[in-house]
Amino acid sequence: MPQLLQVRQQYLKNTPQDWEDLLKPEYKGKVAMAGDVLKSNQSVMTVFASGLSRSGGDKTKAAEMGLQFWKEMNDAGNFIPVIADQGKIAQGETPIVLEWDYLALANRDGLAGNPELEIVVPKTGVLAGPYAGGISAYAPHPYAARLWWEFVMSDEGQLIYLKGYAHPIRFNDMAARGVIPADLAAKLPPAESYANAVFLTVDELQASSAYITENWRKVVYGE
Amino acid sequence: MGITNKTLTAQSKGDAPTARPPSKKTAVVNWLPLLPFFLFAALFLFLPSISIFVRSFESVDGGFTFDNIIALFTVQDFVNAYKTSLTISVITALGGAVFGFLLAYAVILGGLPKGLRTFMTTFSGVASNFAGVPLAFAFIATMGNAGLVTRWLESAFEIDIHAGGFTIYSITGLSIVYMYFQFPLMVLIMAPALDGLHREWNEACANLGGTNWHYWRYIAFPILLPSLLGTTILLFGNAFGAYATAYAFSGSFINLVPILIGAQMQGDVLFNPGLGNALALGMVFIMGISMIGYITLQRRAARWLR
Repeated sequence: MPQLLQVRQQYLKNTPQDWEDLLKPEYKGKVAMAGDVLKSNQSVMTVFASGLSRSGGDKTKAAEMGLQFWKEMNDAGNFIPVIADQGKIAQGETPIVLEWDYLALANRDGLAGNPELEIVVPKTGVLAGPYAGGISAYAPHPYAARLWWEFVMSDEGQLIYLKGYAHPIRFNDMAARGVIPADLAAKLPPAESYANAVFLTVDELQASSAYITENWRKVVYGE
Repeated sequence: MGITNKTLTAQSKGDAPTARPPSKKTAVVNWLPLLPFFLFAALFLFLPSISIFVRSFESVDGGFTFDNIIALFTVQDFVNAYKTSLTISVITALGGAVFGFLLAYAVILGGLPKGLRTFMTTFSGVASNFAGVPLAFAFIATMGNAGLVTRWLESAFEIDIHAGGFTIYSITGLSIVYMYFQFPLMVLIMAPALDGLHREWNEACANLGGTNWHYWRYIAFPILLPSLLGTTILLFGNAFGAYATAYAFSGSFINLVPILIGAQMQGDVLFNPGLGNALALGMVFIMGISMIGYITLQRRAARWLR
């Protein structure tokens, strides 16, 4: 369950801490997404998370308010439409990138200090992008599969996911119990920032995704 | 061309007194060299076109529908995309044609040193094929917000190119990027055509009392017109179908038809291949019309050459 985060580079004087900070004039031409809203679910969720921050956590208004947020972003000239991959981040074209935390952390490790990246979890509008797993009803050994899921859900199994920077579903509980090794925790953003992560149901995901992609061009670019 | 040649050989054989009518075997052998052509045309031209046509009427669940075709004319986003695609293609085709022609003229007939000509043709050969992700990144890295040139102007002259509201992430910016592969193609094709202008024609014109203007208006320009038209159409198609360059440059920020098609086919957000195919069908239709226009114009332009 990774969540939306930001990447920062040495080009910025101040690190933005929350979504609203990104609209400040000092970030003109500096904010990019890691994907295209019409092609990448990650960017659709970026829009949703910004709206979630505005609506104070109200999921029903988040899609609409998110589009409004990006309209303001685009009108202010802060949004650059280039897709921020590792190359553009390294080159400096996209000083602030909005993407899932596991990708941001992987970029930080991949670029290995050239340039130095700072990963920030926004104070509000922290959204989880859940992945689901299942057991096939036709599995030849369904009980073996259940055992496997027992393992995945155990502390040990969950830590394997965390090592790949994907925050596992029991992360908050494990952080509270202090079972996350210190060296691993040091590589991650502070555990508290994940405490209020918002989860969407499949229906909410589909409805918001359809609303955002349908209205993106109209609202944000005013076409 | 191949067919005419074969027929001619068969006929000339027929004129010979001892010749027998061509046997079935020779007819097959005569057609054999054309096989690669037909195979190529079938696999890469006809099959994809038929597939695009058929699948344009496919709904998301695989049934038959007219919705996709209707959407082309009713959904504002799609109508806008065709407008933007056409605008950018026409502008960069004409711009590339004029600029490329003048450049080719300067290099071939402008009396510049010979070495420059070799350099120019080599450069054009490379640049006309330089497109897609590398081209987009090259422009971002030089003229983008953190681009080399942008930063240099800032630090050396304190000029902020974004002060006047300019950004390369715009239709103007994308047109500049497209021009980078448009004009070298024009140079590449026009150079041989300009080489084909014989010096004697100019001299003959001068002998008959014609001025330089007369030479260009009545001799050189009409001779060059078919290749000028043909290359401009080529440039139009070149820009019209460009996808990777535009997408790598600014995602779906600029509403182009190929980008809309991409959004329907790839990614994990939108998925309606039928609609993608219908959008492609619209592009095939526009290219078809421009090809017909080109053929008609070229026939008229080349009439006296026959």
